Amino acid sequence: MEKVSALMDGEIEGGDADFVIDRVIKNQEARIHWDTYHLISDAFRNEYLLSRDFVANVAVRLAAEPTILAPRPRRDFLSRVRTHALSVAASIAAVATVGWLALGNSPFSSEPSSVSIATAPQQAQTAVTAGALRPVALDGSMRAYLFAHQEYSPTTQIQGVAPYVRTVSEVSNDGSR
Amino acid sequence: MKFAVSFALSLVMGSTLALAETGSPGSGAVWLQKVANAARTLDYTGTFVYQHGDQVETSRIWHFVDGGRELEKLEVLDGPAREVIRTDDEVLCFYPDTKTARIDKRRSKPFPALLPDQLASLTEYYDVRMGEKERVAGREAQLMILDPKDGLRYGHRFWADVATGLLLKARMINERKEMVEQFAFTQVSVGGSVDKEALKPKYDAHGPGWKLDSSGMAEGASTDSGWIVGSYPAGFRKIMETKRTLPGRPTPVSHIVYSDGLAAISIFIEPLGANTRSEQGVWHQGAINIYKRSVNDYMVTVLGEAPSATVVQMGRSVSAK
Repeated sequence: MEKVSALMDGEIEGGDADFVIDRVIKNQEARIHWDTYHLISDAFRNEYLLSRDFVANVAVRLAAEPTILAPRPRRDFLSRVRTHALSVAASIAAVATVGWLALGNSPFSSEPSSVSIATAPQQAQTAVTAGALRPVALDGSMRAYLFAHQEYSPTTQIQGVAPYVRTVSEVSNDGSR
Repeated sequence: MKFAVSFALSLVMGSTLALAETGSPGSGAVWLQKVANAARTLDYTGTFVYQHGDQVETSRIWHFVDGGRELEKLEVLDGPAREVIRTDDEVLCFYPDTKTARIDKRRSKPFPALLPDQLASLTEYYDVRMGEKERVAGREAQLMILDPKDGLRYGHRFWADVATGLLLKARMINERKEMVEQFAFTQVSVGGSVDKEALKPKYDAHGPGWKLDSSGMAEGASTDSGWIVGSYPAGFRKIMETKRTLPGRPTPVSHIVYSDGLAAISIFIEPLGANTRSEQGVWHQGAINIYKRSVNDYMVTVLGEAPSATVVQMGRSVSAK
């Protein structure tokens, strides 16, 4: 439960977030916590309780107005809920994630759909933006992967040799070299 | 069929095909093919800027074709010195700060990643149109715009030299029209004499104190990897499936590539071992987004020049047959 709230506030990332998201998908109790947190933040905003489909509705609304998932970490739970309630953008972004979870064909779907997801472009939201992602650690196998990939990438072939810059470029997590 | 004919014609006519001819269906694809060919067949030297996020990096590039053999050199001018020498079948990277060189084998013949039938169907997934003529690096460039029709791929902007077809500037943008990555020449000269001396590496990988890392992957024959990617965006299809070997690893790495004709997504699957990082999550390297997760005793790594939602979706749908 604590983890679900931390996930909402963007305090968990990487593999841990993956783990919690997995739980939210599979575990009904975790899912109830998730929904409850959003009801609390709705209440703080004096917004009326939406239908059970509110997650899906927000996801559709989001499709029209993309948002970046970049909430700031908070200390205690109460201030989390309060600030969260005040921060419409953060809340909507968090719901975007659950929007993925709630919709069958979503990128986070636990059961891969046989239907190609491009048939539902309104679901195609990127909650994690390139700017929010960490640069990958370029260890030996990651470099090998990037090299191997580039040979088969049409975009790379159009660009000529320039993309090799990617495989030798080294930028640390804080953006410095 | 119509496309196949125009495609064949473009190969025959080569450089006489004007970049501005964009009226017929498939002409965008012909244009892209011509741009890709120009990068491989022309002699050129220049300086370009690579930009991603808030990072900017300047490099010098030399490209020379000698008797059908491509020779290329890339020298990173900002930050720690880096040099890449590419010949037909290998790529040699020098990291002089750590006195390390790395060698990666390439296919002796480039993989035809620009597949005519896939290029022809690009317009199903992208709005393809010609933009204005603009000046890039002091040359007249024709802009081509490809905007995706869904949020599962990036938009592309290509500026190609009107005179030669050489790509002068390339930009990838996300669904919020923000730039994800850009390559742009600031100065370039096409044709003329190339100083062959300049193409030689500055460093000697076999020199004293240098380590030569040849842990690049050797490519195996096309094969069934035993893995399935259950979910991928419309228009993507599998273009390659193989097993590669990494020196020092007892078991091969499966490599599957999906492409929509413009973007490619690679799926690598290797057994979790003592040498394998088991970290899971989403990362990026420039416009390439990377998603890793473990499936049973295997590490699945999905990467490609596509939004993170796409690589995550595909990564989560990977399963053993």
